[in-house]
Amino acid sequence: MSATQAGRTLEIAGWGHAVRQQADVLRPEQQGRLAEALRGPGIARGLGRAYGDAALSQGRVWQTTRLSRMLSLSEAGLLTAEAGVSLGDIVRTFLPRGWTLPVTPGTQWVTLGGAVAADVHGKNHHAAGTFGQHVKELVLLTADGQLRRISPEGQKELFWATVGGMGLTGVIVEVTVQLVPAETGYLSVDYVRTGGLEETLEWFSGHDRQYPYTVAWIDGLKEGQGLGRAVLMGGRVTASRELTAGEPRYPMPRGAVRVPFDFPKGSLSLPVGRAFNAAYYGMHRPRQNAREPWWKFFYPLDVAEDWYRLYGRTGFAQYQGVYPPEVGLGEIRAILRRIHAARHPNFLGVLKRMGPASPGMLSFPREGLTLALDLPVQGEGTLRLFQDLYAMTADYGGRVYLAKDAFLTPSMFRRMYPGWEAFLAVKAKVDPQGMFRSLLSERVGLGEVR
Amino acid sequence: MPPGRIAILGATSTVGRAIAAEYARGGRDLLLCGRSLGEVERVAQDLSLRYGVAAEACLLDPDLPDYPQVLWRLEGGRPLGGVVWAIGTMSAAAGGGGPDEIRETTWVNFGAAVAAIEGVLPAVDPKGFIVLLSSVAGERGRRKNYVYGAAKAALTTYGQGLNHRLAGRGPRVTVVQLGVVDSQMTWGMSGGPAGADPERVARAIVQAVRAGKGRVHVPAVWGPIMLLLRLVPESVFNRLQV
Repeated sequence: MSATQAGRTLEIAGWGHAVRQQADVLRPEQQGRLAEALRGPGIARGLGRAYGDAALSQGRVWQTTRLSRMLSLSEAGLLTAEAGVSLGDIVRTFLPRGWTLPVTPGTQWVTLGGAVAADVHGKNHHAAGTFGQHVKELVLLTADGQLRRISPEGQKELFWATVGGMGLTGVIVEVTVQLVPAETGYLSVDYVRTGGLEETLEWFSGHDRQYPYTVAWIDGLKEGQGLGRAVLMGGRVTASRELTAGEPRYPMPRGAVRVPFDFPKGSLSLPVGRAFNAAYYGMHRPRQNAREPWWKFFYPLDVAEDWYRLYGRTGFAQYQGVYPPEVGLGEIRAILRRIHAARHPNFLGVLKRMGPASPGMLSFPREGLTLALDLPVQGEGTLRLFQDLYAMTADYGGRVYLAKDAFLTPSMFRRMYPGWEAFLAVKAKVDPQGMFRSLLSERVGLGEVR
Repeated sequence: MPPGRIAILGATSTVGRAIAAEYARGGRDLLLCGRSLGEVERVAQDLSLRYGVAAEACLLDPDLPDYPQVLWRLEGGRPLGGVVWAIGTMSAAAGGGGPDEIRETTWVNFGAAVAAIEGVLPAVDPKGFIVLLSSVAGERGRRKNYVYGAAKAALTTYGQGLNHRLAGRGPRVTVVQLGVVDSQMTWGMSGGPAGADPERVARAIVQAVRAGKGRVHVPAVWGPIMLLLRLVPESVFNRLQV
């Protein structure tokens, strides 16, 4: 109840912890307080799962995690909640009542606001689109201190600039999203193992369409014949009649373990990566109809709370690109070979075929294959590798995911995101002074409003 | 525990909201009071949606000491199962300040609590409970926040006296001596120990109430810390940077 709200000077980082920044962090617990705290420049921040510098600022950071009140759920499953509510909180609360998220990324530790700002996608993108495409209404706190209620019908431009807009149009305060019914809290999953890239892509050329949820874990380190070998997963929500009597219909997650310290530099080296990938591949034998709880299927990495620490003090970065539908075997192979040529370790490669693009002006997903690889940051070599991967991606007509990115340059950004001009036109109207800016927006040239 | 609603005075404070959530999780209906109705309503909506309890929002201004009557009316004569006082303020001038700051600090942290509890007492079920959120700052005055600390010391003493008065004849009184909690109040204070998680704090408080404790340190580690601090002689204490 103190009269003035004080911020806290903190060193904060993106999830990869390769970029760190000191900022004046405010964490209001009341909506009215947020408007008071809106003396910029700065950027909103949720649970800090953006990998690079999207939620970092040299000025202020508005941490929304305590603006986490759920406001209503209609009979049709329309949920309105404050933007600081985490996706995990929503699933924990509503899955036992038969409702779940229409789209979820690979971690539950994302806020609603973050999910909208990054227009996140999930294993069902080919069938369901992005998170933002299920949002019916937003409340946005804009630079003039106004709370604006915006919808895709009423304020089309501002809405689609905000969805995927990385927090640069204002602070997302409330989100209304359509939940979907879930008969059980389990997925029935088919596992397929492929021997190489050709076989992997073959699966994604049609076999994937029979499943609402698909993803491939790909061995990013295997060279030669086995390059691009993968474990393919296709899942669907288990029907309640498939459960045995007395089985809990909606299993709840177990607690997470913590990584207690930063691992020493070089822990995740090339040989460790090879061993890890080989073990993962070996572990996943082909199976049909394996039953997995929601938590394990969607959030496998959430079992370790601070897993970024495995990468040590220098952290890691993720390359995630998406390429047009005509891009295939040759190009994906070239990207993997470029990483091999750098002798660069990498873990947790993920491949998936995406569905049609979202209307978000800066949204990442578009039709075609997406490839994501976590790469430990090892100085100059890593930066050079990323710049090469960007150039290849742009040449293929693709783009990289801003929520994951740490090193993209303005010229590359503009090649990859032709919607940037439309976006800046909207930003010039709602944020003429450039109050909302992040290290990301400054780095890719979205900070300057003309 | 008697069946009546539990009133949280200060439901939008960090710990107040967490205690409300803890009782809601246990299926208790709530009367949530605070001085910004819109914000209290959001907390009420949140808790009823999450836990399926009835939560009503009510406007409360600790500057206007007639609100106990408001509570009384709201309950329509039905006794409250318990009352939690979770209002506090620590201004930048917690260790001094001008007359206005001093009045605000002592009134909100002490006078307003006494006025509220004395007023609401007849509305509380004799088998119910009263919780007063006090602070370890009241256990030994220190330069940074001794006016705040003095008000909290007074609140602790008031709670002890009330407990004595009501022993065996009325609601049980629990005085909570809070250590540092990760809250709105402590967020802006750089340095110092990391605050405790409000959810765990709330759980410990609800447990202490259930166990019928008259006085409790939360988190428990503050008990021995404050015992030691109280034992340090003045000549040494005055040289400490605490």
